[in-house]
Amino acid sequence: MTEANQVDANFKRDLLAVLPNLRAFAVSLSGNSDRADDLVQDAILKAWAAQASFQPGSNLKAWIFTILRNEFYSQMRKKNREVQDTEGYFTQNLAVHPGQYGSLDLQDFSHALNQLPENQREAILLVGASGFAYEEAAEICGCRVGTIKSRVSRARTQLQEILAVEGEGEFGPDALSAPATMRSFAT
Amino acid sequence: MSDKKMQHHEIGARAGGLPDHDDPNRIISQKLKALYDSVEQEGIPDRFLDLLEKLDQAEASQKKPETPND
Repeated sequence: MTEANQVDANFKRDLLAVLPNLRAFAVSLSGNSDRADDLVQDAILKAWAAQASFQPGSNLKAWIFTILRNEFYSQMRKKNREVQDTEGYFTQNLAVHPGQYGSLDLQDFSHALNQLPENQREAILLVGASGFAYEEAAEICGCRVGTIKSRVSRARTQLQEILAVEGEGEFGPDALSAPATMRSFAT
Repeated sequence: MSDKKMQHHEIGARAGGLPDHDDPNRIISQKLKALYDSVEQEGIPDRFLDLLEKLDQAEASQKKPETPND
């Protein structure tokens, strides 16, 4: 294998290695697994095209997360000009993947996450689930470390509040049966 | 006085190991992980494996145009 081919092979291998986490980020950020997979595909294509500009040995994971994150915002800006499709889309999506958010608990959590402003959601996902340091997350989001820290902190507070309220009030038989009904439609 | 008792109790509980499920931040962290796990467990969808394979092949054939593909 030539040196160039070896670099290519490593690039592909490293890309494959981060894909599951990148995809989980995309699903959690967009709240929609179809849109998430389109984002992942766009990110792969862009990363591949920009391969030459990537410095081997630097942080490929942070690099491709940045690509996907920027893609998410540019698509969102386009979408916002067209139709607002937030609420409901996500619950509908849950029905498509009954295994994905199998427990009701996790569905509630996803729903709560989806109620956060995007910048808080991405911050808590990057730091709390994707395993990035605050500094890396700041670089991915193009903001200061302090900004990321306060967004993560606000996200935590908000999630606690949302989950506490939902845990108390909206836990009637309807809340319990609705997802089960949707699941039966999906299968 | 009762405040002091309260504080002492709280500190004691934390030091003595507040159960994991009582710490809101820990609950959130666990749920974030569970959410990611549920997606990661699906593995990499074929469409992405196929895509990478195609990109790889396209690049290989570009680099060596003289080498016919089988």
